[in-house]
Order: sequence, then structure tokens, then C-alpha cells
Amino acid sequence: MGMTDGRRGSLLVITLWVMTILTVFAVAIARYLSVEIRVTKYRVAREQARALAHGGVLIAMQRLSTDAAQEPYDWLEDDWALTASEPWRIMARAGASAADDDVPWVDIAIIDEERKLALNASGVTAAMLDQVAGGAPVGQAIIDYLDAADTAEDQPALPYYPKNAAVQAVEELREIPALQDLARTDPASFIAFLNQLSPYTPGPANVNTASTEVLVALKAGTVPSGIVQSFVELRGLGAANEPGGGDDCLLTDQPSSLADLAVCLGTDAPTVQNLVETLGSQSSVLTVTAEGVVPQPPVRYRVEAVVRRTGCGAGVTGPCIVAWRE
Amino acid sequence: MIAILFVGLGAHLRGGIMVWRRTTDTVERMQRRRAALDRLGQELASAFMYSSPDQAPPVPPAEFGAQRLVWYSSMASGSARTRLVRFVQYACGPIDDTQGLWRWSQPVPMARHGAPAAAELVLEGCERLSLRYAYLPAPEGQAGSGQLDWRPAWVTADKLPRLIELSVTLNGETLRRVVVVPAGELKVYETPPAS
Repeated sequence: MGMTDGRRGSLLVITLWVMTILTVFAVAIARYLSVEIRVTKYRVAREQARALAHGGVLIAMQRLSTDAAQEPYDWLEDDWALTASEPWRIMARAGASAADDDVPWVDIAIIDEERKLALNASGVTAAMLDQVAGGAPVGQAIIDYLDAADTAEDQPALPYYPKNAAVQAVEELREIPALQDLARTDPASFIAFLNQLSPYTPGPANVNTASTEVLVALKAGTVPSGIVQSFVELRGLGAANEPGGGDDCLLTDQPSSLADLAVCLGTDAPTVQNLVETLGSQSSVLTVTAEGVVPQPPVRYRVEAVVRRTGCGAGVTGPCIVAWRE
Repeated sequence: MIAILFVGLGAHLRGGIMVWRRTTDTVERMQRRRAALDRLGQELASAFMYSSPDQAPPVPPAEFGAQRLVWYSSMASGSARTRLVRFVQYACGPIDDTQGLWRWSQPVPMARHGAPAAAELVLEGCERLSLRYAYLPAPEGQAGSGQLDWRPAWVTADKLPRLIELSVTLNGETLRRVVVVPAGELKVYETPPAS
């Protein structure tokens, strides 16, 4: 019953072919499954990062709501003040620390919109915008884009239309040729400039949080820039600062606030009056940036929400979202 | 014996490949649907009202209708930190004999100029896009109070809707999803004034 040597050899060849075909199938299926598993893991991580970012915005809104009930003025060391360089990090697992590099987290930063120049405010001038832009001559183009139509805006050679209405999102300014030029020649300055402008607040700027560039631009010609610089350096330094110190170098709701500011800055009362004139000390519109991070697979999901703390309509007591980017 | 073995093995493989192909087709179809609705939802989340009726710059108005969405959105461009404003439209219908969910997107100056936007097929086979918008329940004591009031049109011209229910009909099957526009409003329905 034994096979001949020739038949035994053909079976071996057939078996090898079958094995080869099955191996090819197995490799193809394994490869397909591997890709699908990776895509699914990425998908799950993305949803997790997204949920973390959305949750981060809600947590930040809760923090803003709590803070609003505490002090009638806002400053850069307030409870809500969380910078992008030192964000509030919340780990997604209870008890985990930042050293646990396999645990997802959310980074939350809150930036005051009233530290920026209110784009749609009536008192904004081309000179102020130029100043905030670091001297780049873009102010008149922005004013032309916003204000009522006039002949100065006619540029028939360009496919450009001024809006002649209030700006609802700062990205709209990218339609202006002068700003497109700035974005092309100096992208870093362009982004820095946009970060100094806010379409979400009607003003006034908060003197306790306003950026140096904005304060210098708003007070040009009325307050010496040295006083403005001193104020920016001294505000919020705490009790170690001499003279004055602590909240004295801020505009607060206290009756002695202006006199304290004058002592702190080493200047006279009229100068301090000029410094705080037309400015406020409260921040009602803030931008929350929440970035959900999943370490493995590496996914980041970023949400920016512009939040108004008060005045959200009849029957709404807490903060509300006025703009959202994700 | 070997022939029988091969026929059996071949039939088994063919059957297995058919099942595999059908399964992967189904999975990929579901992924395409999910990706399309995710994209629509994400673009809607970043929506904003470009202009209010009292400003009326000469741009196409946003439209939240029963079968069509038209709005302005802030979208990431190139690097993640720079964004652009785009005029976006979504609707179901046939274009060049291809039935599907189509998306049009263009910069605002182009929309203002009336330039046609290129259509992009987002989801092939879409037969119908139905949209409903959430309103707050009617005040106590009136019919319908207690649950959200879903209607096929958003009538507030200067505000965004907070919740939009998308129903996409594909090959007789209807997919439903509720999309949140965080900057939108929830309000009680008011009959729009006759124009």
C-alpha cells in the first residue's frame, strides 16, 4: 500500500502550494485587522480627548461662576486666571499625578477677553490698532473694513470687500489685504496681533488685566508710557512690592483704590485718574481653552470657548457660551 | 481524493472571502457615514452668525431649513493655530448623476462675489436630508410642555440653534444624529412675523 516516490513528491508540492496560499491569506487578513485595530484605537482616543476637552470647558465655566461671586474686580492672580504656559491640569483618573504618563488629562487655560482691544468698540482708532500691531500700518485698513462704506475703501483692483459691519470672529480680519500681507511676511507678529484683539466684548478693557500693548495704545497721549509700564510691572505683585503692595496696585472697588494706586506708582492723582479713565476692573467675557490629551495613541483635541459670565438673557443665572472653536 | 479536497477547500475559501468582503464593506460604509456626520457636526460646532439682520452686509444669509444647512464657520487652515472663515453649505441631491450628501465651502469674499463653490461629495447615496431644530417646551399649561419642541425650521435670524437633529436617508435606511452647537440658543418657538 505504500506510495511511490513520485506520488509522494507531488503531494508535497501541492501541500506547499496550499500552505503558501493560506499563508498569503493569513498575512493579508492580519495586516487588515492590524490597520483596523489601530484606526479603532485612534478613534477611541480621539473621542476620549474630545470628551475631556468638552468637560474641561464646563469645569472652567463652573470655576468662573464661583469666582464671579467672590470679588467685584478681576486681576491676573484671580482664581480663574490660568495661563496657557501654566494651565490647570486635571488627570482623567482619580489619584493619578502628572508623572503618570499613560493617564489621559485635560489642560485648561482661561484668558480674559477684556485684556484685549475691543475691536467693535466705538473709540478704537487706526493709531491704536497700529500701536497694538507693533507699528505695522494695518489700523486704517481694519477701520475701513469695519466702518460704514466710504470712497477710501474702494480698491477695484483687489477682489476685496470691506464688511462695513461689526466683526463676529477675529478670523474675519484675514480677509483684509493689509493683514494678509502681514501674515505672509511676519506670521508670528500676525498671530500675536490677532491675540490682542477681541470681537466679543464691547469694552471697556479691564485695567487690571489688559496687556501692555493694549494699555499703551489706549493711553497714548494721555498717560506717559513709563507710568503704564510701571503699572503693568507692579500690578498683582503682592505684599512684597513696595510701596503699596498687594491689591493696592490694582483698581478695586475700594474707595481708597485710586489713592493707593498713586502711592504704588509714585505719581499724582490726576495721572492715575487718566490711567483708569474709560477702563474697567471687571472681566465678563473670557476665553476658555481646554485641550484633552491621550498619551497612547498620541491624540490632542483642543476646544476654545468664549464664555460670558453674566448677562446671558432672562432666566439664565450662570455663564453662557458665546463662541466655540474645535 | 485530492480533487475533492481541492473543490471543498476552494468553495470554503470562496465563501469565506464573500463573507469577509461583505463584512468589510459594511464596516467601511458605516465608517464613511460616521466620518461624514462627524465632520458635519464638527463644522456646525464652530458655527457663528457672520452678520445680524440689522447689519446686513451683502453676503448670503445663514439658513437653517428643513432640508438644507447654510452657515459661516471658523475652520482650521494649514497649521492648527490659524483659522479661516468659510461659507459652508450642506444638502442632499443629485449632481452629475451622483446622488449624495454634498458640501460646498468657500471663503467669504467668494461667496459675497456670488462665485460658485465646488461641490464635494461627502456621503454617496444620500436620498434625503431632514433637519429639525430644538425649541424650549411651551410654557406651563400649554400643550407640549415638558419636552423639547422639535420643528423643521429655525426662525431666529440672528441666533444659532443649540440642537439640530440630522436625519440622513440612505438606501431606505435613516440615520439620526443630534448635533450640538454650543454657542447656539434654546428658546421657545415664536411664530415668525409674516414678511
